[in-house]
Amino acid sequence: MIYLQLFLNFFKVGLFTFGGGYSAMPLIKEYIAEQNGWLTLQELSDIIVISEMTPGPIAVNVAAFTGMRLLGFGGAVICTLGCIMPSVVICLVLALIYKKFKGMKALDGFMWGLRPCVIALIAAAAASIFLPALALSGFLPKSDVRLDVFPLILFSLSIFVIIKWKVKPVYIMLAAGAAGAGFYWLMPLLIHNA
Amino acid sequence: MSMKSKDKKLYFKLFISTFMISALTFGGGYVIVPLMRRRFVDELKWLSEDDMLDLVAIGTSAPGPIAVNTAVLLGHRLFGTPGALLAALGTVLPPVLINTAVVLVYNQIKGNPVVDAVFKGFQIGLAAIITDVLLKYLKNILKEKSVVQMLIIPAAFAAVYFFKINIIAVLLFSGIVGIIYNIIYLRKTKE
Repeated sequence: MIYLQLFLNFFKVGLFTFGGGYSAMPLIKEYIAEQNGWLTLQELSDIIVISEMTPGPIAVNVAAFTGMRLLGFGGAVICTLGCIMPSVVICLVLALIYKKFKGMKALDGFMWGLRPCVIALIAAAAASIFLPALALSGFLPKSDVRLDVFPLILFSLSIFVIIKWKVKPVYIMLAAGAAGAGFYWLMPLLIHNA
Repeated sequence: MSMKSKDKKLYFKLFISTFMISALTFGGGYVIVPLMRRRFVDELKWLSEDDMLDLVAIGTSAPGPIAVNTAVLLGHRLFGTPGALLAALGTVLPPVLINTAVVLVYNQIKGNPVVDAVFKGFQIGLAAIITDVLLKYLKNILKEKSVVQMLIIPAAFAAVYFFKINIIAVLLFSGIVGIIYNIIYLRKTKE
């Protein structure tokens, strides 16, 4: 039963993901994390992070990850199949009616309306997933060092570096990871032992 | 050599090509598609440049991961339905295999203070990367100078983020607005 439910929900993710990249994220957040609780938002953010550093589309990575975590390899296969089934079927049909598809004005209009919507949906999902991390407030235990400016500084610095020097995402991730280790692990350790 | 074994060889080449491209490419469709073009148009010469452009155009507008869509279309163009299935398999197999390994490692290291600290940093870096991508998308939309598209962005955001309206409903509604607007607009330009 859970196999069927996983399959159907990943099918929905595949069917309504328009435009690649992060556009699967809002659907995964809604149908895999929030509605069914198969992933926590923390785990979802972790798997998107991992997906950034491993090959493959985000939706497929999340499907395989979720399936594997819940039900082992069989689960990974079922979730991945659900996720790519709409692609396979729709693209096979499109390949057959390709000539007609090319001139379909209604479809152009549909995509035209979808593009700004997808941006908004990604922004909304990103806001729910990442704002808690950015707004992390409070003090380091047993010290008066405030924690809540660090995420904002690292975030702003990363944005600046990406836009200014067009640094590849992988390097941004590595640098941010190192900064995280320094700030959230090493520094509290040093302060505690001081 | 019999026809059958020649076919088998070509199928195998298609599968291995898609598998290798998928296994060695970090990131989704926008990164994979150019590599597919290099392999199938430039190196193997199985497709013309125009064919490839057509496939990418359909693959980008069809729902689902762009890399999978393009692989299915490419496989179908080359060897029909079996080709489509093989190319799809080649494209998803690497991430599936890698993620089964990832989960095993993840289960082991989750909760480790160093790992958690690194992931907190990763998360902030990723937020910056996504923000940059969104800004680029936004710039492209603003370039089209359409008030309707500009209004859809805050409206869809509010609908989902504040009013918790169903994502699929919001997507379909925006698409329908796009269809209606384009029909009216086309009629106006005809007159």
